Amino acid sequence: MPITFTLNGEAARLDVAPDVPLLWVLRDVLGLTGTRFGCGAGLCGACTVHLDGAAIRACLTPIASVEGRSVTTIEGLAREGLHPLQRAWIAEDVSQCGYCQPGQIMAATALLATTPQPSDAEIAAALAGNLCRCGTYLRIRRAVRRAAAGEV
Amino acid sequence: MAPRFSRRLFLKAGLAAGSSLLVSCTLAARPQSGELPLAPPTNEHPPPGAFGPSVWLRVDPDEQVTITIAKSEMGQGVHTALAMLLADELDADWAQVRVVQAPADGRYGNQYTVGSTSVEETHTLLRSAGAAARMMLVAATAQVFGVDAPSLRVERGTVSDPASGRRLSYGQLAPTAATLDPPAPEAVQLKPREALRLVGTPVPRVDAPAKVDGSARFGIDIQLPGMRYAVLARPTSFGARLTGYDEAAALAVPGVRLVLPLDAGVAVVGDTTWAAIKGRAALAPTWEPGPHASLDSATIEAQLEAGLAGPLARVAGDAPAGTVRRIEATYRLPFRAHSAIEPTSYTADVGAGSATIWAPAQDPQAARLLIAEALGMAPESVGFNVTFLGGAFGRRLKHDGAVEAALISRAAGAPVKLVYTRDDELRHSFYHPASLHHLSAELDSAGLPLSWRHALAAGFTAGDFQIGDRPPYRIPIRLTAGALVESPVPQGWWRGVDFVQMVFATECFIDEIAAASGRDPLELRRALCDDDRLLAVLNLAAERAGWGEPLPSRMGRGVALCLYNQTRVAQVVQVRVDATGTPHVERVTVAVDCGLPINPLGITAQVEGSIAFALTTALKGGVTVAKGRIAEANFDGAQLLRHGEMPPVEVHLIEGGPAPSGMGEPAVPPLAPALLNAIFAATGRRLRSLPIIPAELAKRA
Repeated sequence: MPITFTLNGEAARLDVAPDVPLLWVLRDVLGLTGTRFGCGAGLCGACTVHLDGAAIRACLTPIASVEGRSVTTIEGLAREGLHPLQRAWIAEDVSQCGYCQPGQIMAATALLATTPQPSDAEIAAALAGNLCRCGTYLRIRRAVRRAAAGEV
Repeated sequence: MAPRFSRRLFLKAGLAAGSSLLVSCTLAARPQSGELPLAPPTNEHPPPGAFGPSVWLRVDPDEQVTITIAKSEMGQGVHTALAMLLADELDADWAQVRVVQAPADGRYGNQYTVGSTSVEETHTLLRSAGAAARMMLVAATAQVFGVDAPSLRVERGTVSDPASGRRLSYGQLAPTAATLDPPAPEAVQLKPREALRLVGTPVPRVDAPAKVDGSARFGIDIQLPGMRYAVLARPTSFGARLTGYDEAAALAVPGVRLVLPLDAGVAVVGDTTWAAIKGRAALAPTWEPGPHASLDSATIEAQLEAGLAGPLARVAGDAPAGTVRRIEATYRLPFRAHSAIEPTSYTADVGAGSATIWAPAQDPQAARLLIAEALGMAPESVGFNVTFLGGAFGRRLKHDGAVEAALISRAAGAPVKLVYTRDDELRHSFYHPASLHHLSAELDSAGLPLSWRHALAAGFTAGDFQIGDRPPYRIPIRLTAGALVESPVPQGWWRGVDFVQMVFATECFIDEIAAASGRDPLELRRALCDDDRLLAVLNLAAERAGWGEPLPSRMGRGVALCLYNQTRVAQVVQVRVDATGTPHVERVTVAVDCGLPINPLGITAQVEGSIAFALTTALKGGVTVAKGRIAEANFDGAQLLRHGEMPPVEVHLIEGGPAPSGMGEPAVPPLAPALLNAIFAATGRRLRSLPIIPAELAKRA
């Protein structure tokens, strides 16, 4: 039976097996490769997307569980141009290899949606599951602060 | 069949996410009939009126300046730093510059991206390419205006004649410049330091936009029409032999298309990565464990001990005259994995007489040769496109997987992306060698060392350890030698290469000498350091760190130095050790001299990243061996540093020389010894191995 959900603001209808993780539907079926594969076990956060606005791990989310719900990926984060957090990421020159950054940004946008002025401890707690091997953590924190302060 | 894929990739990528660097490459690469599916240098097949004087750059009539970078972008910022060097000499308008990645192609020279050598190796070449092009654009202006070239003024992509006020842009000049001969190499003059406008200023990364909107294409993001996805079922211990598998069960998984036994394991090919992973689970391969099934970390430790107990142990010699005491210490480092967040992948599209590969490779020309040989093709028939690398750290110098991807594509009759899952990535990699170091020194009555011995037992890095690998101190060397210990554990380079081992042992031991002599560790280094530039960064780091200022109990500062090729780094770590023994790094103060600093923003980023990388091993450890394999299969076992664990980092720059030198790695090696030295200052406990075990530092009741 096809699965219907909202993807980046548009209706999506797919005929895929219900147990396929959202990650692989996004990447291999829909070509939305900004949601990244890192561990397949919810341990690195590279596949973070929004499900009804909350940050989730796409690698652990069976596609059937998004039926009737709204999924947002890095490609659909901004309706036009760039989201303020994406602009803050550029302003702070955060990225190095860049592979994990879409997941970091999706986790950070979910944080700011519920906590518009997060403390450093709140930033660290919200992003603790998003690993960055390049070590961009200091700049990510600055970018989140910058976006929270509206300086973008 | 291969040529058509470039255009199809462009269409698909364009639909999915707009433009990206790779799209730019493939556009440029769109092959003519009968040509290889390999992107030619940007100066070949230029649009009409374009000026492409070398393989490195092209100026188009619409003012766009394309700079080709042949080294791989793995996060270290070569796309930005190397392009800045060329663009500065060219006097290009930076806003008009776009950077593209070169494919594997001997015309670019050495593309091996390793050991922080990209800048040191290519800065003169790239600056010369920019300067030669600028001279040709000036000559073109002189020809158009009928004036002498020296009277013209060059400024940000334009050439003007001050006498008449006339001005032409590089785009307008391109058709004329393209008709001129390049200057003789000896006529090309590089700018003096004071004339550089871009180099030395903080420039945001050129790849930043693509890396925040999801459009950057890493190797694992490559998609081709009709592409299949493959994973390999791999041996369950080092040297295990395949004895059987259930092909029918794998093929019964929906979406699984093919099962293919290869030397490296059994490939399962499916319509999606998920189908391939499920198919692999159903395959249930059986393995004959082979001779190493009982290998574990304790066995390896014993092998290293045996290596040091060999002939090296007897090279001691008589104590030098004036010796009043002898000290010695033994240090250990574990095997370390790279843990790039992007797992390894290769995408191959193999046709009857040619093949095209896309991969995040650090040594693309070598990978291309491997594939050509395996396919029985001439290297020229294999196009090898280099994608962005989602971290590399030395892992992507090894091109395991490249040949397998090509063989699977040929057997499948379709483009195939071979993907490593995280357990593949952690358990089937090339680990930086575990090492055991024995150091000893004889001290005179003033506590100064009269001798220095450093014996190392390790994998391949031991073979490189020579008398020349001496610490940057005025100490008579009695011995620096390595015992090569063979192991079934595959080994390879890692961020910081063998400096990680050498600097760890050396900078811990010099601290032990200071302690044994009752000297301040900073003062002893100052007294012995034999490199003026290194001494300068040491003094700067110490001053900015407030060395010598009192600290509360259970807090301390430690220092370490690193002379990495031409780059000098000093780090001061300030640590607090709590009652449970957990160390908290409160501050890292770093002074760097990488000669001419190309991009301070990038240099600072590399220092921050290096500290995170090194701190991960210090606090979380490396990988361990149990039952003949790597024990850790995912990030729950092989832990990485997290948000909230990153200390504040201050970076101070000294411009100590006219030539730029590498920054991708030199700040990695000194962190761990500086931290252990700080822990000694805080607690009086001398740790000599990694990771740090808090229980060993717990406050005694």
